[in-house]
Amino acid sequence: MVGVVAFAATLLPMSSVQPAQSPPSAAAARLPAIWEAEPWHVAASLSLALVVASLVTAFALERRNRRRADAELLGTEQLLRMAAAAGVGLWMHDLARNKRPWANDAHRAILGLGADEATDLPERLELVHPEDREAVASALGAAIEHGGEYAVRHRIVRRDGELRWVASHGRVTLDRRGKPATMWGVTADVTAPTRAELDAEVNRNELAHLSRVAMLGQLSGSIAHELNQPLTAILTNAQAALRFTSQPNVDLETLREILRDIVADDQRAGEVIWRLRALFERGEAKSEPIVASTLVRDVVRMLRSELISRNVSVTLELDPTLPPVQGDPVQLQQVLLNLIFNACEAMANSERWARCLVIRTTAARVAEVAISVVDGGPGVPPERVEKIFEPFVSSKPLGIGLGLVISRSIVAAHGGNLWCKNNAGRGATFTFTIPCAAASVAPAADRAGTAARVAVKES
Amino acid sequence: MGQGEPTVFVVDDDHSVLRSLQRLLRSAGWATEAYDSAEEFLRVRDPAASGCVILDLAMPGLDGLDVQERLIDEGMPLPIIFLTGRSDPPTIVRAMRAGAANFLTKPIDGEQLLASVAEAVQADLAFRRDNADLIDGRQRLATLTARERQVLDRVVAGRLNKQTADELGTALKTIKVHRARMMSKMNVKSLAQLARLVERMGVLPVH
Repeated sequence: MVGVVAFAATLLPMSSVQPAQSPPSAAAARLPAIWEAEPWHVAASLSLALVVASLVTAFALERRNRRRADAELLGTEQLLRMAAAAGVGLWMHDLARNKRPWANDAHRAILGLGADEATDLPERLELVHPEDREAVASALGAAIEHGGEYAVRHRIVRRDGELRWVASHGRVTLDRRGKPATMWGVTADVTAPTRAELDAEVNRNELAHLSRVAMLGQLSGSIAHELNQPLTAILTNAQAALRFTSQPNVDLETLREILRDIVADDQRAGEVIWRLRALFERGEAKSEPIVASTLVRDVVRMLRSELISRNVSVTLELDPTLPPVQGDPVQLQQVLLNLIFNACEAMANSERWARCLVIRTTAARVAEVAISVVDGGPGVPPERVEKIFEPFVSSKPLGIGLGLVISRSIVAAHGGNLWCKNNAGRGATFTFTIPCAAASVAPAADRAGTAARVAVKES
Repeated sequence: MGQGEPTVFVVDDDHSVLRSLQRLLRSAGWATEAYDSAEEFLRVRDPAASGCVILDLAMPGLDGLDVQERLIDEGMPLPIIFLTGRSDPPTIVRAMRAGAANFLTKPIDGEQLLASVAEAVQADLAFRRDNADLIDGRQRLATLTARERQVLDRVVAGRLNKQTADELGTALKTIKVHRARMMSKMNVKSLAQLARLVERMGVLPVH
């Protein structure tokens, strides 16, 4: 009814103004007689007629609005019914009036909540898996702070202990003072597709691990050599020290130098083993900031004696100013190992002077780092440039043709690309890109701060 | 020339291994020189020095076998003790055929290495004693100018001065001067003595 009154109020002044603005007419010319005889009567009649007309108009409009609203309500109801049938959860929370949040049955069912249980923020965060809670709180917090939408996929642990994956998309509107007014959103149970995705990831990790172990087999000679060097130095140093100590006038300074070298070489051997163990380990892929030039140096160090025995010279062109990338260090090492191995294989029949390997790090597109491996081999036949990334395609007599497939899937899982291009001169260049770590794009402190503010709101 | 104390040359690209080998040799009283690359060793060392070489087989750039070849080409084969990280029979056979003194696998036993060094240095000294005139001849040969060397090759090949002058396109008088200077540098009195020395040294003619 409020709408009707407001409508009438806006109509009245307009109607009363209209006659004054109308041009004089024939009817108006006859009016003065009655007007002069009974001015009050005429005025009252006219006013009454105006009020009646206005009311009639107002009611007509109100009926039309109501019909439209009815139709809208019907549409909304149908939408709600469809959402419920599809298992899409809907919820709304009027923060300004602090009313009890509304949610449909599907939303309650997804969260495993009873019909009379509260569905607002603190309660819902309690259901979120502890490991995901910070991310969800941070996304919600940002939306509440600035208004706007958020989308999170997270795990919940329902009261009955069941673990489910939920995709939640919400929107927060702010009032004129910038305080959150309403929140609403949709939720969907995405447990099945997420599990399938995770299974695929596990399979990919498993395959990556297997091919890594196979590659380590190829590397074993090189690794043995890398261990042998410090062991040789340690043994020789120790035997020299024994001889020195049995001589008159023991030179303590020399002994001290020997001991220092022994300690350093022991650490060096330890590092080889540590790197090796990391490559052998199977486990979940990690995601951490990695400096590309460090990655390249580590891998080249690991391959040192392999490269020497193949008479391959290596040139590193590393840009030290590049931001770190985000990823799993072992899997990225694996990609690089694979590309370097392939490059060595490609150059096996090249003249000795042409066996040059260049490894380069450059800034790729916005917030990406590219790592390129340039070889001096015969290059890839143009019709095979894409084919080599297909499974079971190998140019090596002993290759199973999975190296590049796995490398490409690892790079893709990191959000990057791996491709091959023949050089203008001789050889080919394999390049892969990896997105930079988030912290190097937006300051990490910002996100932490948002999460903290959400925590304050909850208490 | 080359009459000093025998030197043990150590060539290995791994600095830590290089230092440890030097210390072990020093503990046994050897004079040592250390090089972290084959190129550096070939460039810097005194070619007349006696002793032996301890050589890592696998190095970036020139490797152990390359060094062995160069030393043989130079005609001053210092005994070589090869060190290797991996067992690689074809390489070992190749190195031993070319006259390697020994072949030790890393990690090496210190006493075994020292024994090999002592043996190799003894062999080198004996070789130098038995072939003192040859070694002396080689060193003298190295002091000849290019023209003197051309004259020597032709003299040994039995050419007359006149023929040599024609071949080299110069005056007979000039050839006679070159020939006298060459004979004096080679410290030989007669053509027969020169021919014998050159034959024993196995010098290939230079054209």
